[in-house]
Amino acid sequence: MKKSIIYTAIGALALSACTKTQFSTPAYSPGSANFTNTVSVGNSLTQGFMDGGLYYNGQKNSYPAIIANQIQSAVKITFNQPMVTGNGSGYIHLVYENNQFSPIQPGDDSTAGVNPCDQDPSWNTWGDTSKRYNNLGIAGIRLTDCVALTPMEKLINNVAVNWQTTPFTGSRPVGNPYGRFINFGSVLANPIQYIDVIRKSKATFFTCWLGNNDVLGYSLNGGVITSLTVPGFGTFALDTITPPTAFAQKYDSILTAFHNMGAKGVCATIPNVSSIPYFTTVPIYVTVNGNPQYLWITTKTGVRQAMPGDLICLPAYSSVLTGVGFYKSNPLPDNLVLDMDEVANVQSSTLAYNSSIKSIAASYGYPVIDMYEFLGTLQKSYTIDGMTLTAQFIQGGAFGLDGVHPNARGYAVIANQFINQINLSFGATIPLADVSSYPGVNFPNF
Amino acid sequence: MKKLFLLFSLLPLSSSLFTLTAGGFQIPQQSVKSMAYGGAFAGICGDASALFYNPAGMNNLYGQNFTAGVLGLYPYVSLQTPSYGNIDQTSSVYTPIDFYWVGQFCDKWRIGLGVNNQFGSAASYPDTWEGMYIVQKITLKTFMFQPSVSYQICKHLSVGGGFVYTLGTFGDTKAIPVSSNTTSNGEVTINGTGHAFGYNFGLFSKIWETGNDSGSHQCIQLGVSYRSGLPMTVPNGDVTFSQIPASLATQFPASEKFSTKVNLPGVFTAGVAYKFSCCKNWDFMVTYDFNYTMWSTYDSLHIAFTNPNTPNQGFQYNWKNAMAHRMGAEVTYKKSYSFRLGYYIDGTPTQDGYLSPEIVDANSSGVCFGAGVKFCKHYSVDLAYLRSDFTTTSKTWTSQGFAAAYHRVINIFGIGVNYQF
Repeated sequence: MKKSIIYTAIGALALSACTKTQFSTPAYSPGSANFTNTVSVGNSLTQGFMDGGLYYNGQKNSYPAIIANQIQSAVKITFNQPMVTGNGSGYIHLVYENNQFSPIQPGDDSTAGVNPCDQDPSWNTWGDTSKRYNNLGIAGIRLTDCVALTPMEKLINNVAVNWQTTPFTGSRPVGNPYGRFINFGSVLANPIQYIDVIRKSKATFFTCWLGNNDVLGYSLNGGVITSLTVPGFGTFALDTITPPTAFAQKYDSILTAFHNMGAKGVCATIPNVSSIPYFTTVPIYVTVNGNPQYLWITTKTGVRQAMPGDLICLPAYSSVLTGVGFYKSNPLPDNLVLDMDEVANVQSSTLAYNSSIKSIAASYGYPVIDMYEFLGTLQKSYTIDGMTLTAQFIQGGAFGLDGVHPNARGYAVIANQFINQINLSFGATIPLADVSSYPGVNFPNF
Repeated sequence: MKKLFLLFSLLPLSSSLFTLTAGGFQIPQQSVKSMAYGGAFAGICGDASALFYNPAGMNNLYGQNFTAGVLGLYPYVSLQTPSYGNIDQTSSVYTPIDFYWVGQFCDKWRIGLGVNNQFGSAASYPDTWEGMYIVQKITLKTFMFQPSVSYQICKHLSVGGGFVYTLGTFGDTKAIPVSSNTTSNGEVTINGTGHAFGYNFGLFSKIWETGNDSGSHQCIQLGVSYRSGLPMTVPNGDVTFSQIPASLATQFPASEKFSTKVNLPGVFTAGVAYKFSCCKNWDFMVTYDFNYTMWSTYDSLHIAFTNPNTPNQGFQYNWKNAMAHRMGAEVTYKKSYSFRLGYYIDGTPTQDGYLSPEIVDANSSGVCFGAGVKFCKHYSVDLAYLRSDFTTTSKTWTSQGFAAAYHRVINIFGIGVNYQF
């Protein structure tokens, strides 16, 4: 009988050894996609612009970089970004004083001595054009700047993208400082277009999220169109809304370029700009003695009080604090208000762009990620791994301190939308990025 | 008597009306002997742990009976998420104890006292992991103190009941998604103690018995019991926030208090046991229990902080009532050496879209075996082993945006002693 007990004990010990619960690592696969030379085209969102600047820690968490990092589980690839050093262009950070948070712009050294987020000394010389990059995102670039429909437009576009500190005697710098990692040639002798760069990219796979700035520039500037006079060329309107027909033609050119090199890829629609924190943080009224007092705003049709549907731009915050907008005689200027007519312009153009993006991509067989819809969800409330992200300024958790661009956590969420689509469309099994491991807003620790 | 029988026989039938889905954080193994029977004990009531499983069954015992046991509960849990091929829970051993005393003072009355840990749960994960904002470490421990009494109404029927006092401790640590230049996330730990009162009630019947002098003997025993739910309030628990950026100290102060309420469920049990001995040396027994646990009381958990600036927390669990089927068999040689086998099917109270990594659960089954040795008239020792293993497909906790496939293995080792005089 004792023997039986011993056998029982041995059996129990043997079973207790069987405590392996580990899952074997899934065979992550690229599916039918060839990620060898993955190229990402787009604007600030693609470049990894964050907190109003291009800085190392922001850029390394660009959504294309996050996607590429996840692809590594399936297949080893090289993914080069034109990295800046340290603070790069400088970026906005938060300070906490008198129980409130204030975003401090780079260059603003008035608050706490030296601003720790000022521009890096290397920024002025950043941009090695001799290297090939996989992330071709350029902050501020519009789709309309990428492809010219006329020879004249080719020159205008080059002026817009090609950074030149002294283009003409005595003039101020023109062009786009964030595009300095690309050789755009020279305006007159040899203008190189963004689409030319795409054509030479030899991409085997691409992500395309172009077009946001074709409405965003107009929006951020409160619908005010500024102009640039270039001696010998004339005056160019900046921050206009790209006409939807031109948008469609140009989008088609971009996809044709990818199609001609046999690349597969994914496209994304343009999000609705009117629900980003930039437009939702400053209210249209202030409360005086318990009553709402609607702010006075300047519109294209004159000065009036703000109404629901008008949007006040984030930079108006400090103006409102000093009393601007309280009286008809001292209204908020036009460039700090996106009034309802301007909102309607932006909306209709965005919808037209998106319908073009969907149909053009479909004609090439490229899948489209509906970022209009997804960012609409993210802006309301999106919960991932126990974190609830919203578009509330500072506290929302998904957007950075410029109120326009996502922070690293927000970019990780966006990267996962791309990965989901890639998995779905190309039969790939790329693991999703762990959103919880990406940083959110950096809160002051003093 | 016949009526009663009908009632019993209907119960298992009506169970089929429900989908076969008691899991959760109940520990059904409340004595080493019952554990070996797959947790079935309401009909057999073979030792003082009857006090817990069916207080009326205390009338099945004579003289003074003491039973005490300890379990070593070893859970192993791994997860696979859309981001990671494998994540392991950092296992923690949980050692529930049980102690029962049932005493006979006259022919028809029994009184007793039980102390055990009916509910308990523990899960711990690495400090930095994908679900750290949901849980890093969570523990729930309960101690139940239950004075009970039973009375034999007639030859075939006893009734019993008791009072249950519960002392519970609840602890939870998780990360908070706020970071600074020097910290990647904040952390909150809450610890609280709560109390609850409940009761236990049961009926027990040795409904049929036959035997002769040659040692042949047969009987059928039936039992039903109901253990009430225990609404446990945790009125004044401690909260510690750490690694919080200084600018957020108003919302997350270094320490404050919290309150919450944890609704522990009621359990209805019906059991039947058949015993027979065909000769002097061999006794046989088979038993079956049906459990219905009212887990729907655990629909949500709300944590209220005393600091008005700390956002209160609310989580929907939406658990549903759950059933379990438990069966056991025993062979005893010369009234001294017993071998036991058990099996159970335990339905999970969790529903699709509500599976939290805090309490990993799924429909499960388990196999159990055990042995008992009676050394002399007074002393006996029980040993038992249980193993349960399940793997799920990817399950979500939708409201928290978390998805994972789970693999859980539980090994439980039990040792118990009985003293009778």
